[in-house]
Amino acid sequence: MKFNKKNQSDDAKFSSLLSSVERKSIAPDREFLNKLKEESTKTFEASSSNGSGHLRESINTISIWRTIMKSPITKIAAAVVIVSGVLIAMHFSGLSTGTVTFADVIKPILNAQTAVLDIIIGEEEAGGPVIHDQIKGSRIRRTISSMDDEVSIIDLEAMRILTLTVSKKEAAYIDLKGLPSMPNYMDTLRNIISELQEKPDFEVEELGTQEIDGREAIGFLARHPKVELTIWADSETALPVRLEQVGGQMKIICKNVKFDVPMDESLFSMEVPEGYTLQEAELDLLGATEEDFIEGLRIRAEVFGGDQFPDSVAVEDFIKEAPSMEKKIDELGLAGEAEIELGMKITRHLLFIRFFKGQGQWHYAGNGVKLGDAETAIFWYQPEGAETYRVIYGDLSVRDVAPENLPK
Amino acid sequence: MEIAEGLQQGNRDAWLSLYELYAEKLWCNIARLMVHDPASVADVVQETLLSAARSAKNFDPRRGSLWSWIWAIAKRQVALHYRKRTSKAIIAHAQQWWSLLDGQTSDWIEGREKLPAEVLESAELATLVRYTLAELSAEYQTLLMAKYVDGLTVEEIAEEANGSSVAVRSKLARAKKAFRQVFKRLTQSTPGILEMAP
Repeated sequence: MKFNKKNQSDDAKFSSLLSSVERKSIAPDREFLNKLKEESTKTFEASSSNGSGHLRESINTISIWRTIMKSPITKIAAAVVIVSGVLIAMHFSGLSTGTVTFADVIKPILNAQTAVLDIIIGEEEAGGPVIHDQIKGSRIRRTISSMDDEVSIIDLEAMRILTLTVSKKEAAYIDLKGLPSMPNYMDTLRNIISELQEKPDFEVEELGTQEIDGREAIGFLARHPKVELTIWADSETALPVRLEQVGGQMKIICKNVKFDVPMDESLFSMEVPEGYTLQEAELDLLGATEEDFIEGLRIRAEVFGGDQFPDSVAVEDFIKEAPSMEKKIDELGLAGEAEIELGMKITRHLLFIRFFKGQGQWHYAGNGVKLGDAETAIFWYQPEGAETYRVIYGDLSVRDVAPENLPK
Repeated sequence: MEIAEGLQQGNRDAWLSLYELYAEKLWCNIARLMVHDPASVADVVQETLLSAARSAKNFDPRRGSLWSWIWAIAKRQVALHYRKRTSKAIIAHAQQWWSLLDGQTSDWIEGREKLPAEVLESAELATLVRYTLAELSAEYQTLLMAKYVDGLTVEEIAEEANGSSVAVRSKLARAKKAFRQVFKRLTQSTPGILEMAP
């Protein structure tokens, strides 16, 4: 009885505290809501009649990612980069003045039927792999320079990827269902451009001209709360030639951009080519946790690093390392199931970073640290809503550490 | 369930039903999280409902109720608004005000002592509570506002969320704890240097 009274009293105090937000609260503007009803209904109808025209919800809502694949390491790297890459260039817009305007620059994106471009994740000077995309409607044909034996065809409408290992004539489908809706690539750009153009306060800054790939290009920097996007366009034709997108801890560069390049339908077929064997193994990747990340660190040190942690845990650096890792797996001569299990663990490890859910940024300092070093912090981050940081040490123990006591 | 199915089929009436059901509630809850600025509230309500209209076809009732889906969108829009527009001076002022209060502030937040009326009436407290709420997850925001601002019973909240009373009680306890932790962190930060990331 006493306990109930105490609870009621606590609830009453808490209620009075929270109800302070009602002070001077703004009553609903019914006239505004009536207008918005019409506008939102039109938007709903337009989106519903165009099955591929939905904007991505949020990567934070990801809970399940089921994939079907074998030969894990390179396909995992490909899958991770595919999921990273299809979300590229999501935030275009703004208005500007000058000879070539921002409106001119985005026109080809609005009208193009096809596009070809190269994508680099991270700094270009770092010599990372180049992702080559051919885009037609909701399909993308993708190759990655460090994995020249692999071709992926991505169907964004069906949320499915067909991966082909050319030398082995093996095919596998990767199912992206469970991920938030990923729209038709070009439609995404169009939707975002239309949406942001309606915002008069959207910031676009002119960067002047610069020579890019032997051509004079004019630059525009568009700022969005989550991303900064720089577009360089040919000064004469206004065709975009290079895009640089920086959001969170990831930089994505698009270069050699060409629009309306004729491409044969067969390049984008989701059918398994004749003579190829379809692989059927399944990985269930239900939400990557801190434990998954730690297990991946252990594997990367023990199996691939000679008991030393990797230089980096960034996804783009993993992609660079993937071919040598697969070679190492071949040398280990693991049985099929063990190989798949290893691949699954590495994938979960990567997904923790790729879809990082903590507050602020993660920090990695494991470069050169030996597995078992209990004194050296190798990774730290702040979980959402937490006061303290989670710090992982070289012996893979984890401690909660106050911000003022974090490693310098 | 009917609305959900209608949304998936692109049915206009389903969208209108959703709008009738939630537009005003959405406005009220967004207004609770934002400073006294009708234009900003309208802006966030608009962004939320247009974003919902664009993605409604993909609404999956297995992932949660309609309200939890639409409120998750609203939470992101509020967070974007905070990052984009909110002046750090407002929160710094409220932090400073709190730090100069004469009383057992920690006991007030832990519920051991009643907050004095003049503190409860202050705009600064409302600012601190708004910022704290804005940092919590969409689920915790919904639960706390339903129980402690709208005055719904645990059973009513459970019914609305298609969950059990036991689960709601447990989540409410966690939500209160999270609120107190964030509020303490917010009020113990040096005024003016806090980077809010709701």
